[in-house]
Amino acid sequence: MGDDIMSYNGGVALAMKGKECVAIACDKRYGVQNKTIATNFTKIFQYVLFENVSFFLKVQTVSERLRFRTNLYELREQRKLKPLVLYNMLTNLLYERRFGPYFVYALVIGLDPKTGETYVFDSDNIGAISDNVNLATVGTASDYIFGLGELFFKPNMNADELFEATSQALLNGVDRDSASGWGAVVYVVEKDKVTVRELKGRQD
Amino acid sequence: MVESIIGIRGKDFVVLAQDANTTKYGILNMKFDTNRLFKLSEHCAMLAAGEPGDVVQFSEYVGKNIQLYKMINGIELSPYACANFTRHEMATSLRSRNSFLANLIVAGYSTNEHDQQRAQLYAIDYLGAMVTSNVVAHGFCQFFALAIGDRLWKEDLTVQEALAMLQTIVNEMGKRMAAYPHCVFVRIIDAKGIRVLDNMYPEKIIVTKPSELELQTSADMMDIHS
Repeated sequence: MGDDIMSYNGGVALAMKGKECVAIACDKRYGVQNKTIATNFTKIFQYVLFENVSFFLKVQTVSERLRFRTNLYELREQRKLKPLVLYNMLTNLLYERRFGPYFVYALVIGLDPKTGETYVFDSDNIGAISDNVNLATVGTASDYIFGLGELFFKPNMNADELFEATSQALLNGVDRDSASGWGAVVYVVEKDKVTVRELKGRQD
Repeated sequence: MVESIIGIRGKDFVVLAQDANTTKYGILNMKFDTNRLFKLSEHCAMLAAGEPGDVVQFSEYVGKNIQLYKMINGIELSPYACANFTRHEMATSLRSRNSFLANLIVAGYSTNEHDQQRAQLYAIDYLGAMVTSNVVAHGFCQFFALAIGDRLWKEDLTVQEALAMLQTIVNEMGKRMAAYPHCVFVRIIDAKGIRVLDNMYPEKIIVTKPSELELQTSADMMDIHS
């Protein structure tokens, strides 16, 4: 902990791909270093779906600014955003503050309802662009969750298997990290619906 | 840090409590009737603690702007809107020449019947992070208020239960905090608006006298005069 700004608030998020479905999950803790202040702080904001972890001030500010840009886009273009467009908007927003950055790591997931193509991207706090990956994790417990995620991931999972894999990887990963936990929220995005499930893990 | 502000949300009310001390140089108690509450609208108020100048400056700025909105548009901002406006101002000022070291609690009762949760309580820290919860606090009293709140808060809390919880918190603060809260101002916000309730005082601590045995040393027990 100490003076590492990126782990000041704690928190974690995970995104995984399946066959024509994507899942994103986050924990619910809001804390200041070792003190937990609230246990209802979900870090997932829905545009297509977009996730921020680590420093909550900036989580709220970045999501507000991105909300402004996406609303303006939709008004001007008269159409909904594609996941890739959202991701590029976000990385642009983060890079604008290259020398006084926002303290967030971001995950963006999306699904094209016509083609069923899935997108999972992640970004560091200055907007480094990643490829479309199968599995992405950000946050204080990301190393633990990466290991579990790689273990549980199989190509072409259906929505139920994907939910199981995502939730197990997250819940067990946060048990090893004191700065995350207090339950989890999992969003599973399919072509025709988004299912939100709240999980109760170890409440510590 | 040393000043305490606490908010407790109940069924259809919010109880706001603040200690009434102003300390200087870490040890002097300058004032014991300090007001930390700033009214934002008829059903919305804000408690602020932190750097003394910043607290007043920021709270008055936010409060007056919210009143200006009411004058220009003819309607009052909801507690949710007030809290988000306040948070936004705090976040924008953070990376500018003038940042404010003030921790805030914004509480209100929504007059919109369609709202599910009518009693609303938000905590905003000096970095502009906003959370909403049933019990919120800022300062050293966080350690006591949040923990006692975890234990005693329940759904459909009544005013009496909330005040009993608050008295427990104040007693604990009186026992364990070096910065003793001589007096705690209590207000309640509900459908009728913002009202002031009776002050709360920490319970007097009774300590047993040390026993006479402790006044004896081993030398006394030696009979040297025989």
